[in-house]
Amino acid sequence: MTDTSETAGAARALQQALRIGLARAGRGPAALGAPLDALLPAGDGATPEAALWLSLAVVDAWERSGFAPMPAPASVPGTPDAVAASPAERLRPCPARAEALLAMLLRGVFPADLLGPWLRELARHGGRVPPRFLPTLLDTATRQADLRPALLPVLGERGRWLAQTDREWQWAALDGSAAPDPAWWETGSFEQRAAALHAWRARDPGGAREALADTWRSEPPEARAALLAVLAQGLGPDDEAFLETALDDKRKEVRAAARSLLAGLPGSQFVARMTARLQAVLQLEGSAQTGRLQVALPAECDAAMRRDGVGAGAHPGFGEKTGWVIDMLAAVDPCIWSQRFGAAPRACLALARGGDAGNELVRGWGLAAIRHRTPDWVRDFATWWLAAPPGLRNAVPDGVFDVHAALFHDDRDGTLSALLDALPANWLDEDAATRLLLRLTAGAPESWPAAPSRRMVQHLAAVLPAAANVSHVWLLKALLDRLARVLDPSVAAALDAGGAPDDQWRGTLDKFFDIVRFRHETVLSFQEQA
Amino acid sequence: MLLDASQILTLAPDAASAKAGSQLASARSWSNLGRSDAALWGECQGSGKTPYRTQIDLAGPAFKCSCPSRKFPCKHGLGLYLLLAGDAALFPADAPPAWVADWLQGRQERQEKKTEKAAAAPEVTEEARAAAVVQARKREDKREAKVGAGVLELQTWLDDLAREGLAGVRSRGQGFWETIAARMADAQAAPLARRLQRAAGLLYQSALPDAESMVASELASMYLLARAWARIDALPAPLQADVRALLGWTVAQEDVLCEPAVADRWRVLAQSTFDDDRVKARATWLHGAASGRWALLLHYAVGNGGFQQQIAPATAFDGELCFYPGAWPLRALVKTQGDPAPLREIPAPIDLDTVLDTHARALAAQPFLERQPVLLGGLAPDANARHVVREPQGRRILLHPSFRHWPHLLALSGGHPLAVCGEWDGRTLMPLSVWSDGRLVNLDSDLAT
Repeated sequence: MTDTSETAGAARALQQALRIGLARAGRGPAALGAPLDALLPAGDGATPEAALWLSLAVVDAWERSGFAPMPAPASVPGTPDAVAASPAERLRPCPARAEALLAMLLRGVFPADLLGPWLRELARHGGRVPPRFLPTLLDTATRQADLRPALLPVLGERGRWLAQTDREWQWAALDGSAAPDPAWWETGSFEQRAAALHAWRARDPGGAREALADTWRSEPPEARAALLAVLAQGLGPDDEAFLETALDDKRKEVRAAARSLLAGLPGSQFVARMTARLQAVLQLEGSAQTGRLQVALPAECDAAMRRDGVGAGAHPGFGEKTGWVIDMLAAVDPCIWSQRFGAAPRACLALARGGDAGNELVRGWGLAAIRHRTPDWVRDFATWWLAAPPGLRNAVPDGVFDVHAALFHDDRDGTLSALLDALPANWLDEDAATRLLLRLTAGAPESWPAAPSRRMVQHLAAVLPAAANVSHVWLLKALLDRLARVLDPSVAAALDAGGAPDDQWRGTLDKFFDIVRFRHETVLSFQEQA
Repeated sequence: MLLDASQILTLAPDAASAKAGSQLASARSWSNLGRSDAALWGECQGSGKTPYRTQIDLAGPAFKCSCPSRKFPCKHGLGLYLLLAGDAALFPADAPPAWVADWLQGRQERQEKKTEKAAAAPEVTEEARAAAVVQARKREDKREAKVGAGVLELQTWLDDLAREGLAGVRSRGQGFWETIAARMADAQAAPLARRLQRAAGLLYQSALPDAESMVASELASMYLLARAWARIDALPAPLQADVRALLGWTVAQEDVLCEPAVADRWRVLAQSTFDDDRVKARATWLHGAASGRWALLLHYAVGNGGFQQQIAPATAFDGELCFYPGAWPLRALVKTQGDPAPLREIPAPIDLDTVLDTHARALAAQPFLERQPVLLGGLAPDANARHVVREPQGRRILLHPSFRHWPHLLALSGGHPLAVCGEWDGRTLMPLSVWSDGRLVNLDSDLAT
């Protein structure tokens, strides 16, 4: 009875007997055999029930004290026994202090959205995520796809190795640096085809466009708009003819994509047509300094105008014909107006203020500045906004300031600092400046540098002691929440916010400093080992 | 020694305190910070007018704070300690102010009194002592009779169950088990009541494929225990102690501390905390560097309170332990505890064959032993097969079905062999901590899950 398979059989028989019960089985449990049977009592107390329980106990102890592990699987020549272990790391380990901060972050001590910036800081340091946190981070980024770009570069070999062990983590298993396979264009899934076309376009713009033109008729309608948008990469005059044909497409999204590309193509027929139409609509009376800008609404929207997208935009609060003008303005790069009137963008915006058509001009130019990302116009929009009449401000599309945040958050040319310098001392009296700053901070992809941060901190220090009572205090709280994430943390940590008049305001300030402190310590924790 | 941030956070009574404490670990929350060799102090501005005075005796560590919170340690204590871990330069070395010095002195006096009390025999007359002995004997006889009756009742119940069969009683539902469990509680055999409830839970609530055979083993072990009680006088004295403990007798801490003390450098290799209704239990495994002995410390915390004795995983201290009596002693109390230091190395891990041999010897001495601590070296998780680990000879063992951290184990190993500290139950391994990149990762507290 020393053979394990024999005991296993005995254990199964005993468990079966217990399951059905001795009464139903009609007999006592089978004898255990030597040497275990010697352990069972004989004579008094040797009932079948006692024999069953004691046999179970004896076999259990016997099995546990003589446990035999599963033998090594017989290896088949030429096939690996198991998945290969993860290769050696190429990235640096995460410094201990930074790791401790990550642990606190994952424990929920700080707002979860600080995880992205922490991961980017790790990537900047050339480091990789500590292995003990990989499962949690892979799970988090599986749920929140927007975290993946930050996590992928810091997964390390271990992270990619781990990702292949779970179906849900497959998105992280591939080495992201692999180039798309050109053959995907013929045989791949839609995403693979778009990636292949993108890579082709980078190599050979003309060839890629011709390839798309060849399959254009047979492409499914829902794929056309997305494939057409790939042409934004390396856009040139050679693409115009093809894009013009796409203006007649049956699908609205395709036409919009084609218009967007043509509008960005300097000297295109499309731009010329729009400019000519606007020539008749916009008239400057008097000089660019003192004159008025008049808008003559077009009488009708003909087929050619409709083909170019006039009337396609939605402009709530504006009349139909006014909407046509806005669509026309939105299509052309606003820099042509600075040239035509010989006036800087801010002077053009001042002209809009003088006439009756201020709202449509501001909205049209705003949309144009977003589409063309014209730095001069975006910059002047922000400074103009601070002193603009409230009515006109409402006509400015929010997106202008998102572009501002994207173009100028790094303050490379001093634009952001100059804007903050232009902030009046009483900037908190009205909500306009707060709304602008909220937009600029919400759209900033990275922290502001020290110089604009210092200016902002000065502005805050000047107004915060009396800030708890301003009418738009909720906006100010939202701004502080954003600034905590955007200001240079070492600068922000030095902010003297004054006393807190009530618990609620104290809570707001505490939250601000908690986030700033976390970011500050994150930066320091990575510098330590560098 | 000073604990690091993650060790400090293991002292927190709950997650909310850990979070609140972390948020208080910033210089602007504090004033009048200071430290000496023995202690750490500061004042924290709360919502009230007067700031809270928070102090920490670093030797324990022990916490005291003037805030009204009943959590222990409170968030101020944690915040103060975390602040030190983050930036020690904020704490100028200084003589403790009166409010700190008084407390420290009071602590020391209490400690000395305790030692004196233990040393000095109480002055009682011969008659009083004899009367007390008689009283105690009476109480003890009464309890033995009660437990004995309970054990007999359980045996009868198990005999009935064997006749009727597990399948037959299944339809009677969990209430059938609750009734007998309640009877055991009445008979002052609390551990039997708990085990019956656990068996019922396994049978009715778990989805484990081999739940029925686990229940069979558990009930058989209880039957064996009942038989052991019937002839307890025939058992060797240490095993008698085990049987009594398994039936609910507790040994007074003073009595345990009178056992011979084992002096060693004790390494804290694993710690896990369990929630059991309103009581939190914390199991800590220690390993003696010189003796090679394992010791289990059990601490309990009720409600919001924290654990009285603070022992952080991945530390080591010189000290003396006293073991509870038993045939294979594992559970222990700390008699003296020197300053803890960070754990720099682990004991040499052992191989699977040694683990199996030791377990066989342990079961021979104490057949009721449910599990045993092990430090197994060279274990590589199998990336293809969940809960399967390979040892260096290629043989494979299974991890316990309720092990929750398989992906973390994979992540920490990367498929390479590593040393795992855990509990071996004779069939499966429950990993509790691993040694990875030159440091101990305690799975219960060092993962973000």
